[in-house]
Amino acid sequence: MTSTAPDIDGDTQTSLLRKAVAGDDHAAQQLAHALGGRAFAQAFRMLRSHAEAEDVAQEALLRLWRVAPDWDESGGAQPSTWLYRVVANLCIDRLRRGRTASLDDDGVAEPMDEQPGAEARLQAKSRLSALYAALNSLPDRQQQAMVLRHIEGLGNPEIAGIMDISVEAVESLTARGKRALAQLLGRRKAELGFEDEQV
Amino acid sequence: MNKSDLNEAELDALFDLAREEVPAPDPAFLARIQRDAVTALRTPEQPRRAKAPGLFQMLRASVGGWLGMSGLVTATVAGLWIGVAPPSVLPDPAVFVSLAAGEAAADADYWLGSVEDDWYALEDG
Repeated sequence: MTSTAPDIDGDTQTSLLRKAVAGDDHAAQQLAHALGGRAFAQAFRMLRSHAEAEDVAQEALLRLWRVAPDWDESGGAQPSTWLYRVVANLCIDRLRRGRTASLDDDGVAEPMDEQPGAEARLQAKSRLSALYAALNSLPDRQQQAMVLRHIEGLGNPEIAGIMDISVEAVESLTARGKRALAQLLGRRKAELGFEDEQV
Repeated sequence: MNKSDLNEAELDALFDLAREEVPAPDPAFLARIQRDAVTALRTPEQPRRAKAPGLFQMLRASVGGWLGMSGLVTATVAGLWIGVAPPSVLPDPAVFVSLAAGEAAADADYWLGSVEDDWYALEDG
């Protein structure tokens, strides 16, 4: 992830949240910065739009601040786990409201790790478009599990907590999602340049 | 998995690409959410829980506020004063107390006596 947001563990998040509720502005800002970056990245991956990802991340954080005073009484989940769930639901709502996931070229940012040549950049762009098109054709739960597992890089127990399902159900969703993606993208193998190279 | 499907490594290559692709959040966005956090946490939208009224407030309310309260206090003080130092036009309350005590003792003797008579009558059949 190229996000500049600092990565902080669950205990630190909870501690910062308590301080923020007690009136510590610095803790509130630190937490907003860390969680906002994650929420933005997650929303961007699902919506493929910079502006919409910002809207969703902002809305999700506002909801977090609203429940923050009662955080300890509400079961004490990690703030980031709670936020993942809210962001995923907000994104799914937007996608369901008829918004066609912007799989046009504008929605796909340039890969930023290296400076590949023009041809490689075009191929990367085309591969990402194909991947997101395939992901968006999956059922909502499969899509969410696949994004959290293979793109966000979360473990199955954490995904189970976010989606409020068992670890076995996560495994089943990701296995089926992966098979579906392999099949869907297999039809575009040549176009994506996978037949010319040994991966 | 069919031969034409993408294999595991090809799928992983796509996921790697997606992980690297997310742009950094805009600094203006980060500043905005930090401002939101401070503002929202300073003014929580929870209704304040009403404090239960104390005993004195309940008493004051039951007698009709401060006016009733002052009347009650005046009447209490006046009653106490009349009890301790009665005006000369009133009889001495101590006399009533001793008279009342004497009558009560006589009543008790009479009552116990009649119970005793009833008991002997029952025993005799």
